[in-house]
Amino acid sequence: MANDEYDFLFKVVLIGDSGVGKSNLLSRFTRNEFNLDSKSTIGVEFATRSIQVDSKTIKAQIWDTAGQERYRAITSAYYRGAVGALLVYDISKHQTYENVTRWLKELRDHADANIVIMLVGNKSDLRHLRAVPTDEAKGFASENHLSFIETSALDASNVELAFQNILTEIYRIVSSKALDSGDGAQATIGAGTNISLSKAADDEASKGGKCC
Amino acid sequence: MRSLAETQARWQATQTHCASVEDLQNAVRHNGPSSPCLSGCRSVCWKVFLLSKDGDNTKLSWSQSLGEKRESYSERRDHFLKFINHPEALTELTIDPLADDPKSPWNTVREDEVVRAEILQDVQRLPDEANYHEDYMQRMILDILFVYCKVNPDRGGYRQGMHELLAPILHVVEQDALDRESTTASDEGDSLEELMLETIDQSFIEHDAFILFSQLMEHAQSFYEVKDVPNSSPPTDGPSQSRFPEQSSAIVERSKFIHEVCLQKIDPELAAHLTGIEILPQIFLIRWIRLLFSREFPFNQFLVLWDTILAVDPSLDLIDLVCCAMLLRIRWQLLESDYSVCLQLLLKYPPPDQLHGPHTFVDDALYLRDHMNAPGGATLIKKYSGRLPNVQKSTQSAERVNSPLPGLDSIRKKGFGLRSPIRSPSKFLQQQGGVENMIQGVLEKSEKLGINQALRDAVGEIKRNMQGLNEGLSSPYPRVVLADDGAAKALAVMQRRNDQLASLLEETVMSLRALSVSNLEDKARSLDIIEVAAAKVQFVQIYLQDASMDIPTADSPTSEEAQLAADKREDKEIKKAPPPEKENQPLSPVSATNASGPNLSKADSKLGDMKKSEEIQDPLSNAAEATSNDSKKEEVLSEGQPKTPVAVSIPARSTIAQSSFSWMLEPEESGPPQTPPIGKSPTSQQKRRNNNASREKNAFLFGEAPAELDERDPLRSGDIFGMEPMPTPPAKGK
Repeated sequence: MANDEYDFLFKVVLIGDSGVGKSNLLSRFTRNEFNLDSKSTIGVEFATRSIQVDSKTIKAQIWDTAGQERYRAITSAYYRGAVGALLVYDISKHQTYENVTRWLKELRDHADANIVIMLVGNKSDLRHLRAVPTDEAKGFASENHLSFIETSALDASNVELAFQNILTEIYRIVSSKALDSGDGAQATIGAGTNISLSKAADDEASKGGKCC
Repeated sequence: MRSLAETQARWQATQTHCASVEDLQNAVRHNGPSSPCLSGCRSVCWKVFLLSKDGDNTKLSWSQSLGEKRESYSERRDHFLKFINHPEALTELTIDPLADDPKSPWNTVREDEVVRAEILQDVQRLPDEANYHEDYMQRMILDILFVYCKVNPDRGGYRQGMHELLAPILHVVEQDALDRESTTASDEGDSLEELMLETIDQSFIEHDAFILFSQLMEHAQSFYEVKDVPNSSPPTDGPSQSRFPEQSSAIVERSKFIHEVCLQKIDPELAAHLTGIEILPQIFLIRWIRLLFSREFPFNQFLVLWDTILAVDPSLDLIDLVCCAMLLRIRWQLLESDYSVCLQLLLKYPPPDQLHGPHTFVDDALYLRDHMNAPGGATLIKKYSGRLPNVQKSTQSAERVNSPLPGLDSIRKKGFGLRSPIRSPSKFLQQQGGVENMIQGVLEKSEKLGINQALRDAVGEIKRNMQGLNEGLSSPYPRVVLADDGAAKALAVMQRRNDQLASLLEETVMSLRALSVSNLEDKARSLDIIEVAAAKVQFVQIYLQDASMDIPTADSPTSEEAQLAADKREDKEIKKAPPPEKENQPLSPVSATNASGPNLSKADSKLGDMKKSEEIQDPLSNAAEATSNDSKKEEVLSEGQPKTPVAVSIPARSTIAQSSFSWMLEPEESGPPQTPPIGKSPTSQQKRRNNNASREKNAFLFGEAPAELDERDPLRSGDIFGMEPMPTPPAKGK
């Protein structure tokens, strides 16, 4: 793990039904690979990649697990410490979209209450097989205060963007929350990391409390 | 499909070992490349292993069983696949397809189709091995798994991973199969052995695969059992209240058992490391175990591993120790890795070297089964890495590590005596060879834990002090000569001496380990412990360097008294490091190499396969060299010796908790103190960049809290990622 330097480490989990393409989203984002016949995930997979946000290095630690298991054997270990979740469904299989509510419940039960959730409609390349209209999913996402994006791990469209967005969102929340908190702590943060006060404040303002 | 001639040859190769099940087991275990699994019919071997009844070693019990089970499978298959394969039969029924009866065959078929679709999704994603993706293979795998689920409705249905247990079985059976029709048509047909024709009959491929799979699942089923998450938990607004207790699924229990019991006994240091960096064993063991290691090794290698496992222990109890053996094989890499790297190693297991393929893990496991203790683990570690683990501890002492506070207390209660009572010298015989390793290990281990600098400073100080002493007394000391008739006596004396030194080091290691477990939570106390440890290590060093010195024992009351006095004084001034008393000992400088050589090499011979004496001498002579290099400039120091070197080396420096990254630390700072194990000496500031182990750990913990901490600290629940309010930096020196 040479040049393993980062300013922030965020754990992000991939969840969703079996076969929606979680593992391929992971491999596309972390290794730029796609495998049409990727094996079913057994237990947990894990990969990392660092990106830059506001000249800060954010290391994303992305966890992927079997869709079928619903983590019953590893639930708390899987969600523990996760600050983001990509809730993935397959736009060509309506059932995987219907199950999104079950996954949201799972998150409510096991993850941090403030986890940042992004709804991801994967396999957008399968236009001719689309079973979930984009608008429907978009509406559902905004009702439930989730971000939303459609991706294709196969043709790589929006994969980078999806991860960028969720990591940036987490970063914004983290930095603004850090500034919101106690005086002493604020001083420490401001002095140490050079997070621009005005910038962070702006970001927070622009968010307008929509998140969380 | 193989030619008839080849099949016959393979059958014969298998039969030569089939006199009894034991013969076949031994042949598979020991015959290497000529194992009947490789040169003969692997499927036949598996059938023998999985179908032979306990206590019934008659040659053909498995064959009989095979016949009965084939019949049974045929019936069940016909029954459960009736409407799947013949949907038109449904319409002939006089039942309303839309009837609300959940037991209506229409409903059953609809439910079955859902199950089959779920299975099929995984079958289509089987690894690209062998012939898994041939249509006939896919259909058979689907049908077998489906029938298995229908036959065992109480087992929770299909679980991902079962398909990868079945596929190799089906492949192996299919490879050996023989088309009976074609052979009877040929001339030689009559001369063929009936048993062969029956056993590998092509028309029973699916049956036999189902049978073998079912037999395997008798023991593997528990890997897949998951209890439903209780839904009784009331809705709450925070994770701390709604977090369910970890489900008591069998695989999690087994993973814990492997980590906390097996590995703890075999390699307590590694077990503690995994605990320390918070890697939960089930994270990687679920896949290892559920798939019987088939994803961890290349196709042909894991088949040989399966051969060996099935031959040795079809009940699969041994896999706990196979897992341990795998961990031992990469223990050095794991020990020097942080959370991320460890996880990557465990989820992408490094390929074992050519000479020791995956099947050798079974041999290791068998060895561990008979030697389930630290020396057993150490033997294997040494075998594959050439290095001995830092500490080889008895189970008893390993258990003490688990409870850091009692450990600390007991050490403190003893006072900080330089010499501890030797409880059972014979218990420590096996540790002799590792004395130098142990000292080195203390350094290595503490380095990882961030107390490196402090300890290194302390030990460096000791070395310098010793050098000063050596210079003060410059006459070369006579070596210990193991002359003819005196040899036995000298050996005995040395042995006892070694025992004493070893036990003293064990105490030291214990206290340091307890310290590491305590996470430096109490700085002042930690310093005390490090100081005492340094003193003890120094004591041992002195006696190692001068083999002629007698260790005070009960036989020599005067020195014992002196020792006790020293102990007492230390009790009073625990802040002071090594007491000056030691300098008053009649010390004579002597070549460390020469003096310690006989000591250690003799101990080696006890151990048999342990290091040769030269290897052990090296570190010592290096140490001697090192000390002589800086001896001059340290002379002054050696005079005013007991100047608490440790305390000096730890100035007050802001910890990460106080730095700008503090908010990334674990949120439960307000809970039980968890001071991050960051080096606190000045140089650790430069080292911080490399200190990702601790950093990552802390960073990773950001927003997370162990369930048990959560429960104690419900206030956290509303925090954003558990970060609000800002965690106050832990009080320094708390």
